Amino acid sequence: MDQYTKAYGEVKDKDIAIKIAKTHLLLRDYTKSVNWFNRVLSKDKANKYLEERFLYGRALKMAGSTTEAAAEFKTYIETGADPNLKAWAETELKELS
Amino acid sequence: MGTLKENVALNVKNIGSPVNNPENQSSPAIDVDGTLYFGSLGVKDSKDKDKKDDGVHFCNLYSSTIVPDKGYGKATALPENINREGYHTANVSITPDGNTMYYTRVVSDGGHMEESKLYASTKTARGWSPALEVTGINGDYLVRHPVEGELYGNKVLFFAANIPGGKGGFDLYYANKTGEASFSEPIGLGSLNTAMDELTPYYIDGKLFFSSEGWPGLGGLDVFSSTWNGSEFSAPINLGMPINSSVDDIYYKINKNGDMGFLVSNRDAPGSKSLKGKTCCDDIYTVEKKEIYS
Repeated sequence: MDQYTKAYGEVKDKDIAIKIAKTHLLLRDYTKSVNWFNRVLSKDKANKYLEERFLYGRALKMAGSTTEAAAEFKTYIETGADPNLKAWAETELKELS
Repeated sequence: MGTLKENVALNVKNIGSPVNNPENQSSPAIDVDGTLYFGSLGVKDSKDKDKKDDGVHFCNLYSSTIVPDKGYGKATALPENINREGYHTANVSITPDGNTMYYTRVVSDGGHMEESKLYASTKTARGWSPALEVTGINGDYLVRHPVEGELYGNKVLFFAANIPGGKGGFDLYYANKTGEASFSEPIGLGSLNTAMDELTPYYIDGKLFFSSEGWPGLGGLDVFSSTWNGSEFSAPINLGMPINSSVDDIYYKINKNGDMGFLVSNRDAPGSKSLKGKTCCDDIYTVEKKEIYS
């Protein structure tokens, strides 16, 4: 994690920021995960990181930001590619709405 | 949020030190004499004081008993014939008659679980017997969270496993007991399993409690209950707050009266201890029915 953070500080690579966000999610630091996902996804107008929106929704939900989480799950249901994650996002949205 | 209501009659409270520490605690299990058994990472025994910390910590099983007016006392590691060096020993449960302890031995590499098998020990006059590998259930997959139950009038072992051909992730299974530490082939609990993880089953009086991230819930893993009608389990019911939270809630266990139990959670709650961040690590919580004064 420290090496990823150091590398991001040097090159500001979005892929590294996403890796850091996913690692924080695995380590169950949801607030930090949300912050790192948000750093990339809030500016991802071209939807390059569409598949990451589901995990961003999970991080938001577990950080207690349920309205924002529901919006991310909705986006994933409408535009995501993985049918399993879409089904999972629908389950998540059902409970959040 | 959604349709889940808070159960205001329950009080969920961090069990505190010395049972909890800033690392992960797991699988609280009560013996018939009131002894609490649980798994814990990072507890240093006095004999380890002079050992150099190599950064590799193992989960081991511990016991603790109630000290009058003080709560649970100092945690003591179980002997080496149960906590084998080089393995994570975890997921302990005690059978309702108090005679058998089930648990897992896990080999992991850098946080990745490579092997997880079920073991059993029986209570003797000199303490718990050396670990005996369970037959009939272990295979080329990961088996976790064993707990005894009863179906069709037979003793069974419920557990979670990622057996190929399941619905996805870890699914719930049971196996019929055929002898001491021997069981039939695993049978999947199809209607309860989802494409995501189902973990930490616990069975009492016809009710199966388990945690799942595949059924609609408040957080990551939520606790659900399902009732056995003699031939099948009912649709799962989410236990709602305060059993469930926005994070992971696992290992829910409750006594016959439904007024005293345990839970493991990484929630950010009063008394919670976390090594890093507020929600990194699991603590053991007690679940009690609130006293009503008139």
